[in-house]
Amino acid sequence: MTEVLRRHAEEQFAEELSELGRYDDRTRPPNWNLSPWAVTLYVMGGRLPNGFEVSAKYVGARRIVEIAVATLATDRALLLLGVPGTAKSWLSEQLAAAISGDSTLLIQGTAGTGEEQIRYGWNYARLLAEGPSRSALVPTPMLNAMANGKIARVEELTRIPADVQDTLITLLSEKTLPIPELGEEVQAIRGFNVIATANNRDRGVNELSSALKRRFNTVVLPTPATMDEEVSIVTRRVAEMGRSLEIPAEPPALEEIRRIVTVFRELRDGLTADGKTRLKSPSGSMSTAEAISVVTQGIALCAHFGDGSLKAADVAAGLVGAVVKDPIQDRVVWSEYLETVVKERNGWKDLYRACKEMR
Amino acid sequence: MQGDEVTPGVHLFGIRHHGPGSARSLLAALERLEPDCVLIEGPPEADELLPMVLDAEARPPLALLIYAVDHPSRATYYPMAHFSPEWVALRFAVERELPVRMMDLPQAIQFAVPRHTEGTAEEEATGSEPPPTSPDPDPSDSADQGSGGSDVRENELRGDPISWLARAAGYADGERWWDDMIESRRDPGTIFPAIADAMAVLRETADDLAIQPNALDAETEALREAYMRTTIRAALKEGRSRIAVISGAWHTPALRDLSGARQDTALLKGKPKVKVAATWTPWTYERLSWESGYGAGIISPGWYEHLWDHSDSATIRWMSRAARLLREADLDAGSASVIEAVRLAEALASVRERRLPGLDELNEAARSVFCLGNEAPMRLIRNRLIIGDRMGVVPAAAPVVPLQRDIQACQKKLRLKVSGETELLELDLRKPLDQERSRLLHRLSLLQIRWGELLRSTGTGTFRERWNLKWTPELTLAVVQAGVWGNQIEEAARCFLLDRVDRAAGVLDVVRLIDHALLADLPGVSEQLLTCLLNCAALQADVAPMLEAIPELVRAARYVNVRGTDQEALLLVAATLLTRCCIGLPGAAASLNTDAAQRLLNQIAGAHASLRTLDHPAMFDEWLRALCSLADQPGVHALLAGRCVWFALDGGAFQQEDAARRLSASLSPGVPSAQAADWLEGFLMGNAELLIHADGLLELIDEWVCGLTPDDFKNHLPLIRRTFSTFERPERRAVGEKLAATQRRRSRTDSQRTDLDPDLVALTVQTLRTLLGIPEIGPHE
Repeated sequence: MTEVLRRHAEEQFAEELSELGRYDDRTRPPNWNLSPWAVTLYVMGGRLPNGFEVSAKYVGARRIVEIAVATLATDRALLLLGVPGTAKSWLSEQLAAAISGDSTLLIQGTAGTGEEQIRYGWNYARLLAEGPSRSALVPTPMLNAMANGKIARVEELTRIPADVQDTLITLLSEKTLPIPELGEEVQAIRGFNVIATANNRDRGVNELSSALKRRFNTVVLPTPATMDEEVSIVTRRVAEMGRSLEIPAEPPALEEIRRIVTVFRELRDGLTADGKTRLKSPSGSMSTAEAISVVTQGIALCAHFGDGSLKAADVAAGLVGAVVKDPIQDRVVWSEYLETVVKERNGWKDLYRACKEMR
Repeated sequence: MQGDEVTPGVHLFGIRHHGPGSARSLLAALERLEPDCVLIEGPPEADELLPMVLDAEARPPLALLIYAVDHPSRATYYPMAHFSPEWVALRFAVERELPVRMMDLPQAIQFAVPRHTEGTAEEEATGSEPPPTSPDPDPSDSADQGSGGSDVRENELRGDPISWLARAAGYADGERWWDDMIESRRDPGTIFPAIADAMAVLRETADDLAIQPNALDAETEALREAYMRTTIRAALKEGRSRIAVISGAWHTPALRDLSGARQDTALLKGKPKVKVAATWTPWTYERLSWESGYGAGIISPGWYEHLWDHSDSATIRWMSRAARLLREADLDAGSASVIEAVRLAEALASVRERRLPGLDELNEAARSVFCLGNEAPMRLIRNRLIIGDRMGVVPAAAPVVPLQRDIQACQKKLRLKVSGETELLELDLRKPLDQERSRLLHRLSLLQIRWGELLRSTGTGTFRERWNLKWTPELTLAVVQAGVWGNQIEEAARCFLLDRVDRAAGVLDVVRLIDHALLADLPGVSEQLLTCLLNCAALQADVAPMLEAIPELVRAARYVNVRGTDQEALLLVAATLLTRCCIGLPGAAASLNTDAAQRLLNQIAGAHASLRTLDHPAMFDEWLRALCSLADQPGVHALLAGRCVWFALDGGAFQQEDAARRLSASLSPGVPSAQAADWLEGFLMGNAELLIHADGLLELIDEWVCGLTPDDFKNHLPLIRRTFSTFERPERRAVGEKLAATQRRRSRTDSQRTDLDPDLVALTVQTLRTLLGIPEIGPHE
């Protein structure tokens, strides 16, 4: 077997899925591998009665996963919205793996996605040789999902041009895909559904039409709820990335990470951690993913140009870059934050000075 | 359906306060039982007010208000909505003319108990007691909610034990659990005995877990239950044989066993009492909810009302109401969405293994389907549907509220005549009596009781106020409504103000409220006001309101008779606002048209004047630094830039040379002349002194004017004239004279200047001297 860089969820967690399937005695919707209860358990993690440990795939509110699963059970399509770095695609892959046992029916949405990637395409050699026939038809993941009663995934829905998005409208409401060239149609069998993901920061790219919106139940994936949760995500990811990039630096002090996460959370929430002071929020998303890259960048800086341990000066550049996306507005936000919060805070003097120098 | 009948003839109904499910079950049970006497957990002092529940004018939510006559701030409210079991039972009894009695421990006794922890002393000293609703713990579970010291869990458990049962069963909401319990059971008859049994277990467990109220609460608790038992015994003695006893579920186990009459009598004997009065007062759903800081409140009165009104199709009707509400707000919510939302809510309930969708499921479904995951429309649903905006109406026959009494007492004390005619009242605030009158009038108008109308001051100084007084019948209504806020004017005004602070929309709103607080002399609120101001300032993207707020704050800090700490706090807030202004100014001043620049200039001028008089060097320096950088910032309107240079010069941040250099740069030939004229206008606005006394500036201006082309000169003449017309006549004359002097000097030097060769001249002079016989003298001039 060749060594792939990343395995599909249903392969990686095959054991968990089969254990869950064995113990799951609740009603399963038609063509679902697991019951909604077991799907939720698979995503959120937990322990089976026989002591088998199911790992947590999604760190966050159970409520969100429940809404997502309930939506898929009602045959309404599911739209996962969120800023970059909130595990949208990851959640959609896990849901598809758990429900259909197949997370590969994937349409990657780009500005170049055409209708033939959503409905069907043609094998032109065959089309010319044999004329329109079922064997000359190239099915899309969507068509396959419909025919087999599985979950199809559409990534980055809002990047798909608006006219191509429209093909989804009738598909989702009629659950059928006519093939006029053959005088046939493909009718979705039960169990078919669509999970789409979209980034709600750049909604403006190709705003969903209200007709399409109406066919989706929307679930917004939030940024990590607590400080500790976010610090642990950042620490873990930074360690993983440090290993794979082979940066010769000592792992950053938890305090430094905590401080960066504090800055991110405070600016994102528009409120200081103690809840006492309101702040303006910058135009950027201030996502956890960006916090991670600020730390990694800082580590790379201190490893190659500094003494190998992460200092305020090493993160300042990344921090300013992460906050100030709009040179006018965000500059004001950042200055206010520096002057009213960072300057006054105990033990943050070094960060204040380092950031002042960056201006 | 039946009550818990342990003692024969006594049927105990343990209910959930404000629970529509309880109310429905109770009503069914009462109809079956046909009681001959109804006892309700409530204040016995209110017995004669009870028939008013049938009054045609009475509209719940209403609260029974019991207050100490001598000290109206000691008061307890027993709020009821039309879905409250107590209200339902009251109406049931009054409609059938059954004897109905309240059986809680009289407030006369509860008020006489010295207050716990914080104590009365402090309250009287500061006269400030913040909670807007009940100064005393809540009514319906009065002692249950207890003092601040005890454990929250204890309060929650005792306040709403049925919710805890529901939570144990996996429900988020006690009401849905109740519905589920009753509706899914074939034989719902045993629900009340079952509740009583469950409570008995819960009470024992609470003892085991040491979830104990503090000693004082435990004592009140024992007294209350003793009094309830005594009331039941009295009813039995009267020969009643089907007594319905309605109390919070928590108490039912204690009412099962009616032996031990002697101990109860001993316990209740000789308790001190205070004189109390009772009345109905209007209530609102908002105040029924947790958020208003009302202890045993319910989170979602609107939802409960919905459950009471439409129990059979709650989910569907709820979603269509939500859709209607969103449509009114111009948000898409079609019928298809309603169907989908209902389906999602039901699917969600089944994923969570509940039989009926509760409020949680409905909210989540609405958010996903209607709002596309967006929180903002949910807030609308929350305020309008879940909490609801209903306000009660009191029957006209209800006794006056204590606030009214307090107002009347004040009017009498301050010798203010209440009349239907408009009367003019002039107040001299230096006199103590007038000062108090002004304070009363300001507080009343803050409470929307518009008895007096403040007339614009006629310029006789800040110590005079003129009011038009006129009492209209609607004002009585306003007083009753304001009674929601408190029983004394000051307390009510404070609570009202704090409520307004929570809703304030921007910096200026809050600053105005601070003004109100100062006028109405409500010192206790400044901290909340200032915190709120800081929060608003942090979110304010626009610099203008903050600039306008600064003079107000500075004025308040300087002139108003406030305690030292308040003044310091005000200054601190002003300094924070200033920092934000200084950071925001460069952005706010960029690319403005003349009108906008003029507006900003006025705001800057206001702030500058107030900071200049404040005598706070650190703040003034920061301000000047911002102005200096504004003066040199490219893209700033010339009017503003010119003015900033003058402000910087005036404040001492620029030397005269600095200003002269900028003047010359701004008036130099490369600058479009319109822009130069604006700059000049900004710079000179009313500052003739500078021109008269400073060397060089006038020359620079003069040179610029002389250098204009004839066309430009014609164009700018009105502008220049406008600038100079702001000067006083003598100033203009002085400027003119100075210009004339310069002119003379210049013409003189002009005439002296020649192209003669000095050597030749010397020779000629020499010759002439010789000819005329003039001797050699010293060099000329």
